[in-house]
Amino acid sequence: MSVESNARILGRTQKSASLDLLRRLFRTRFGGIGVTILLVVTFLSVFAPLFAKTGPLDLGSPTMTPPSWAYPLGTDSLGRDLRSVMLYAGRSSLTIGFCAAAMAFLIGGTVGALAGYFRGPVAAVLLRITDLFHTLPAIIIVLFSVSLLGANFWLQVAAVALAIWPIEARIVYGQFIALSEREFVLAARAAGLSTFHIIFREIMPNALPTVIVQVSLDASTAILIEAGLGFLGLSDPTVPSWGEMLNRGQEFLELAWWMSVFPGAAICVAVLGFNLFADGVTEMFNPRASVAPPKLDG
Amino acid sequence: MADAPLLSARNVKVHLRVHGRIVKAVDGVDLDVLPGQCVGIVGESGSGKSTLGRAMTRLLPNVEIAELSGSVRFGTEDVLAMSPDRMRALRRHRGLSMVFQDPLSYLNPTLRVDRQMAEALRHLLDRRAVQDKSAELLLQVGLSDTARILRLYPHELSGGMRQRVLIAMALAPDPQILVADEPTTALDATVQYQVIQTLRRLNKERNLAMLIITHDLGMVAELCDQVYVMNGGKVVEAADVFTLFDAPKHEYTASLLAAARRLHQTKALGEPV
Amino acid sequence: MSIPILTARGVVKSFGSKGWFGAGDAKRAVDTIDLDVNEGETLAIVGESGSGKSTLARMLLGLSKPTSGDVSYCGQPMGGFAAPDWAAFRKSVQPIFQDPASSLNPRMRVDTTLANVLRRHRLATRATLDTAIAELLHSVGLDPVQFHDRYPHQLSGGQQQRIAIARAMAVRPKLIIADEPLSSLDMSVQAQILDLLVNLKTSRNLGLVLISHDLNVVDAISDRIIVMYLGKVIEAGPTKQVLGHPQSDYTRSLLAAKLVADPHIARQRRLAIEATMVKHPEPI
Repeated sequence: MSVESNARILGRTQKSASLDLLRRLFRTRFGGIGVTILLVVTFLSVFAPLFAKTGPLDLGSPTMTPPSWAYPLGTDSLGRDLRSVMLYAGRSSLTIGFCAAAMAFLIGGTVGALAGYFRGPVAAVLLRITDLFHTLPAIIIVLFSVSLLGANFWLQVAAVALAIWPIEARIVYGQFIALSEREFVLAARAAGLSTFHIIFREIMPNALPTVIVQVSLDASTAILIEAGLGFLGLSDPTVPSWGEMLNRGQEFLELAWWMSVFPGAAICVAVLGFNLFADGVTEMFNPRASVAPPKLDG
Repeated sequence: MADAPLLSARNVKVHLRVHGRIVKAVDGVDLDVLPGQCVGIVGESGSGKSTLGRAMTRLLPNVEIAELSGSVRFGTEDVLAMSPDRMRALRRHRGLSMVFQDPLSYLNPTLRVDRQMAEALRHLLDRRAVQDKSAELLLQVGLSDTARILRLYPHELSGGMRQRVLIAMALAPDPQILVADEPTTALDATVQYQVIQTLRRLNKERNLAMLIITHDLGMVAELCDQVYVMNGGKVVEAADVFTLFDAPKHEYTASLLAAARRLHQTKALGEPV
Repeated sequence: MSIPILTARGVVKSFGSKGWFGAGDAKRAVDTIDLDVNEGETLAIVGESGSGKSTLARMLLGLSKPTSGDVSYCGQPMGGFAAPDWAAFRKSVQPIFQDPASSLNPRMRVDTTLANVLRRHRLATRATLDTAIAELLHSVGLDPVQFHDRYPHQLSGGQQQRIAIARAMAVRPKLIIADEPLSSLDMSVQAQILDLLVNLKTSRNLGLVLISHDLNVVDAISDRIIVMYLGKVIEAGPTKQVLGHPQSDYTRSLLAAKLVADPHIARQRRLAIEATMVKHPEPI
């Protein structure tokens, strides 16, 4: 068999890698539940108009009705259908979760990658800045920016991202430090491959599983911070969110439990979804993390 | 010699669950260790030798076992059917001890050697007795500077010293048999040689029975009396060490020996002049 | 006489800080080493952990800079390399590492790994890439059809090490620097990989720097030996001379510690050696 005939058989086959990943995620203990929760919650929020009969700020329903056939989640003190408010509030809570986590990943990932790859003085400066942000409690940063700049929705997303990026930077930095000493990275350097190739083709793909887990946990943290802000009455009053609903509900806790219980439950479910997803990803890429190490010979 | 075996395995099968598949890691193995004998289990990675070693000392994590059958006898007792309490008692006194490949991960990094030795010597009540016994055990494994070593933390010891400290701790319960899984793999050649010397001396002087699990035929040649060659979960050949090296019966044994000879050219270099 | 491929002169590598007040306790992992590697020759660097042999290897590969001293490639010091010099150097000196599992990117297919190197040095065009990869896999004894689309975890240790060798051979180097290339492999696989290295070496006039603690392997294939201990060269010379008539106590104790896969010899030797075995300070 000649080398040429072999070469012809070496057609590049692309398997559907993402589908395969999803299948593996569903085979973990909690990953499937996590993904399902996230998909359902996202679907409901994105297609909120399909499920809501009224707009989130439309008044006109009877006030303070308990859950019933007409109003499955009840109505609030202003006469809004809580089903509509919940669905639209989900949009802002999830947007904060996804966007703040994504921004944190961009800032933290870049800082961590640069510090981890270049080391030396670059790393020293970047890491001290990271530490500075890390030592400030997240809620303080957010409260400070909100009171300084007002309760604008996107400002709030940025403030939450600003509060959580240092964790991301630390994680990425650690991964880069560990991976850039691995032999396959040394081999790539010895082969003269470019810095760009080494960072994005050799190191990043191997850091990704850990990073995805952190991004997912960040998203749940962001949702919780937002809920806290909303509860304290510091979120954008024109944009309903689960936290803001909680704030409104607390006044009527004894009269209308449904005003607090449903948004509270929604926050729990969304946070649980992100955390289970993170667990699933961890288990998928590192099956030994969750059970006692199986050991054949070695 | 009609000694009854100290440790014996009959038709031991260990099937493990690995990523949802069943792997027949050990598939019907018979093995005997006589009192005072040094027995080697040789095999390459994936041969099931470590799994067998762990099964015989009841150190397999339960979650992965799909099937564990056959019998392992220590003296007259059935190891596999033994209560956890009885097993613990055997590990603590006059029973079996184990030594593993990577000494650092079996030592507590935050405790000095003396504290860890004391832990292994819990059956002695008197502090004075513990100190004396600790020093004695270190001497037995060839560490002479005992007072200093007892005051050190694990990371302050060299690799060979750590492994010998671990062997000393394994000797603390005064075991009848020592099971060592790749005891020298992580060590340098000169240090490996010291550890092998130590093991051999213990075998000869204390008449301590040993079960050595290794991939290294050089180590087997140095140390063992009786050898079991494992491949694919089965024992393919069992023989006296000289017979095995001189006239291997099984093809697989012969190929292992050929590879070893390609690497360990048997001309004895550096004979002392 | 021709210029050696690699030359090291007075190479030092120290780790640890200079200390707050300048004095400090920087530790010299490699302490003033001189060596030459000539074309087609096999030089063995022997030592145990802490001897600095792997640190030396990284400096020879241009992966870390010496604290002082200089490594030269074909007479030209690396300190003064411009980009084209690096490209030329990378194309002629290649590494093989100890742990094959860690020396391949776990998320990269075998063919991609090889293609990256081939493309970087323009050794294949889009049209010839598949043929070049197939040839490389053939040269290390792997069937291209079967192995080109595997990921590292789908390969055995020996197969992984073959791929690592194929990657090193992809640039058609003049010199391979192999850091313990056998020590994490099973014994029967060790023999195969050793044979592969010897074949490649003789068929392509390849120079080899073999870093190893295993005197058996070193004895089998090297022309010259350097024995290192705590960062310094203890003994150097032709293999036959160093192993046959060792001058230093350390080399002698290394030889004494060598295991022999023959119970008769092992047991005869034991008594003789135990009497004369020389103690040496343990590396920390």
